[in-house]
Amino acid sequence: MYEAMARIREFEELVARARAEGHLPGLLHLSTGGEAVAVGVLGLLGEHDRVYTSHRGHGHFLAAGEDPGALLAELAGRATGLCRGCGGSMHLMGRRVVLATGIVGGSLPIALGHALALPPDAVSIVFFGDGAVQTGVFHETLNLATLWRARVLFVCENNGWAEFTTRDEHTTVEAVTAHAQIYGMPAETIDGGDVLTVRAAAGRLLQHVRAGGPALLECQITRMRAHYEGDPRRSAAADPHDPMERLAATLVDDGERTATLAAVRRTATIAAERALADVLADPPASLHDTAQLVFSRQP
Amino acid sequence: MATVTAVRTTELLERLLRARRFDEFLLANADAVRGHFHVSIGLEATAAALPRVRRASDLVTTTYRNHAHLAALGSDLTVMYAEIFGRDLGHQRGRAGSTHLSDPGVGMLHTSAMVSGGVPIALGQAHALTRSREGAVCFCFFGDGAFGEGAVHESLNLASLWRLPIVFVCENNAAAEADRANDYQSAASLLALAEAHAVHGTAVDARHPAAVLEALEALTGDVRDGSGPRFLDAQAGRWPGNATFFPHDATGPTDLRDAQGDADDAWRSTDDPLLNECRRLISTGFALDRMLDIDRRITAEVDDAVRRARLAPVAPPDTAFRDVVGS
Amino acid sequence: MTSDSTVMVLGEDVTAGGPFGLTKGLVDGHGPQRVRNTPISEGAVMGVAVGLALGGARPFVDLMFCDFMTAASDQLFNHAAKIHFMSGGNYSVPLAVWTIGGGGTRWGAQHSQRLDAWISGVPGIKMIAPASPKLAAAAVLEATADPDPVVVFADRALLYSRQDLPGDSGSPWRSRVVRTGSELTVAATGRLVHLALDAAAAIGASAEVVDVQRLAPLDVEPVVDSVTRTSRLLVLHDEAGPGALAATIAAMVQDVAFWELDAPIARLPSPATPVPAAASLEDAYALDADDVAGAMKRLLQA
Repeated sequence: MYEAMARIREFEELVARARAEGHLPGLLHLSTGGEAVAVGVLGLLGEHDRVYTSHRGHGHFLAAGEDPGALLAELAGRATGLCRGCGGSMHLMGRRVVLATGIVGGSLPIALGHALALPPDAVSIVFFGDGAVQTGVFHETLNLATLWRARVLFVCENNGWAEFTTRDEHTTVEAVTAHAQIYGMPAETIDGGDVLTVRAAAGRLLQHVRAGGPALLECQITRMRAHYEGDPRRSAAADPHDPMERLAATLVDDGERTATLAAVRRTATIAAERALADVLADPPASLHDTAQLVFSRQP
Repeated sequence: MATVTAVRTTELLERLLRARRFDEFLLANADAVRGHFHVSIGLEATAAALPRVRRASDLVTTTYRNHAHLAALGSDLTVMYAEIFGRDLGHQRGRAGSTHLSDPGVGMLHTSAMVSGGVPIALGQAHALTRSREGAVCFCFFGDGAFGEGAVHESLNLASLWRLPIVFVCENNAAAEADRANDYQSAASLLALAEAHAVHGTAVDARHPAAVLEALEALTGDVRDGSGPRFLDAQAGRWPGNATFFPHDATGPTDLRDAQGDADDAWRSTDDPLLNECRRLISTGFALDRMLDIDRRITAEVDDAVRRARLAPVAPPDTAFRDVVGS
Repeated sequence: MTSDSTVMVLGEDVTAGGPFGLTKGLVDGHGPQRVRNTPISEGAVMGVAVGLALGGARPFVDLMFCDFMTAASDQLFNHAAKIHFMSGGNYSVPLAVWTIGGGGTRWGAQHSQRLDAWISGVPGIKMIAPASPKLAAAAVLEATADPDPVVVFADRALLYSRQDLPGDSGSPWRSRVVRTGSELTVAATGRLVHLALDAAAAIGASAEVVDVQRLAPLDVEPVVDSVTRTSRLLVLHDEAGPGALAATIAAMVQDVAFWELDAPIARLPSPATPVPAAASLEDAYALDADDVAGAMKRLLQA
């Protein structure tokens, strides 16, 4: 799990550096600080399960096994990108992670609909932030999911921020689970910075969801970087808790050597840098190739 | 504060009658209505309670099911009918029809035909009131179906976040289910939905107007004190005439004498708020004959209003394109 | 629904047949898993449809009135319409939406609109506005078989009409000539196609009437072709104001056929106001046979 988290961390750190150097245009929202949630939940992903996420989705893509090279190429606007350069960071669409969306709350009902079309036992997992909880569509979706006994696991990454505003300015309701509980669905609030806690809770709730009905997992995390890369407002958490350091501490206590962990980080860094070097050599996406992509079939 | 037994006056009865006869005469004159309309039959208790708690500067938002609110608040019935019949005499000169009836004179600036459409607007109105009128309140009415719309949730959250002076009143005529609010709403109850957004409230049996008045007064008092928004789940029975997409006169003109009879249908025996109020008055010693007198007077008023409205000239076509923007 | 088990219906009151009877009897034949009643949650329901489509189903959303598109627009415009493109072609959204627009029922401003320009203006949405029963049926079948989001926009005034149009056994995807003529071309949609035919007969004009039924991507090819023969064009549309689709039709035609024209293109959209409720006002608002005949005459004299 440390390795999986390290891959996300080093990927995102590389993305931050590459953006600063001018290689990655556009709006980038990094998952730094959310690795335990991504790895803890998606480590349990089944073959037929599907994942939906938000604008802050890189970590989910990586944890679900999507190709980091294709991901990076997409961020760099290359023709070899996951979406041939048409989607970008906020609209990634992969194989098992179906959709990232730039509309807060936008993927919630889609995840629900997809769950209705999945084979029995398969589930839809949808990640969203605490900001999405104030959108109307979140509540509409919870109601529908309960009415239709849909196999959806709602995972809220509550970092206390919605863009540049803290949660207390968006709502007086602290616990996201309060909204789910009135529908009678299992709902837990956990420390999202501890991957073992996340995995255990996700396991419990996924078992319930696979049996036929929605559940909500609220993971408290810290947003270690600003809302978007390059944000002059410095909207990162003042006192971040780093899930990597916490896991490292646990592993070291159990006898792991810090040198080994450092080596894992270095390997991940090198892999990310190599991927970037490859990607930068790829041709940029061209409209000539993509203009026909508006429709699957021309009328 | 009015308790159930203390309301001896006929104020509730008169408002209920005004609303009920308005809708009954409308159904009887449906041929004069070209568009669609909704009637408030069965749901009048909340409207009847409103004028007692409303002050002159309070505002009201409601839905396309607005006749009872307007009639109870004392809006001019002829003008109301005229608007529904598409006559120039209407407040909106025929542009609005039944679904968009409003009367600024009684604090109702606008009604929406979109389910939940008026709810976010109520927030804005309440917000404006906090800046201009101390202690003023906005009453926001909507139906149980509106909870399906995300806009209601967004509005409840904002109302509690900004401590807006709003009394949300849900006119709930859905059949309750055992473990959830109703067929379409899987939350435990409508109260639970409001509480989840930190809006406190109560539920009341809206088949009993005096109980509704008591509940509304209590909640409005809290809101005026600055405690933030409140929510009332007014659980009404369902009038049989609403069973289709278009209302039809399923039960005939209400006969107040049924308050003393032994009707065998649910509507007359338990669900009709007007008959229930008659029963309550009878139990306080008020004579049925006096109620019938009041009914005759109000019925004559409504009858006169509908006649005048039918005679009013239609909205002139050359005014059809005016007033799109203010200037 | 019988031949394709992945097709399913979602919408308010669909198990009761809907307010206009569109879905009558479907739940009896296909069950409540495939004919799902929904609460009044247009935003989420449209999103559910997107998810169903991504999951391999073919959802058909009954959006009752096009005025409710406002609530459903985020999911239709920002997601359904854009997913094929944003995914680089990796995903399709085979979603069908049925909706109704237009007035004539005195139902007031929020239940009488046509929002053609707004909906059809979003790249990624296909839109058909059928003007006869056969074409409406064909449009529904095509929409449910199409791999992309298709909006079938029914004209309120034609909901219960049984009037056929010439050549309406053809494809609903192509705009087409329904009456040949030589003096002017009239491009129209929905009920206005019938009105144009009536008006032309009434004033004895040799008008070539084109049914512009594919509104997105806008198919004006037969209009252009017609104008090369008639040199005059009148565009009719039941949509409000200068932003109505009629303007786009006119612009596209003049892009390629300017030198064929003997007179400026005439447009007759609805007035730029919300739709009033009173019968007398709505009648003044709505285009009628006299309006159309008058416009034709003016164009012929221009």
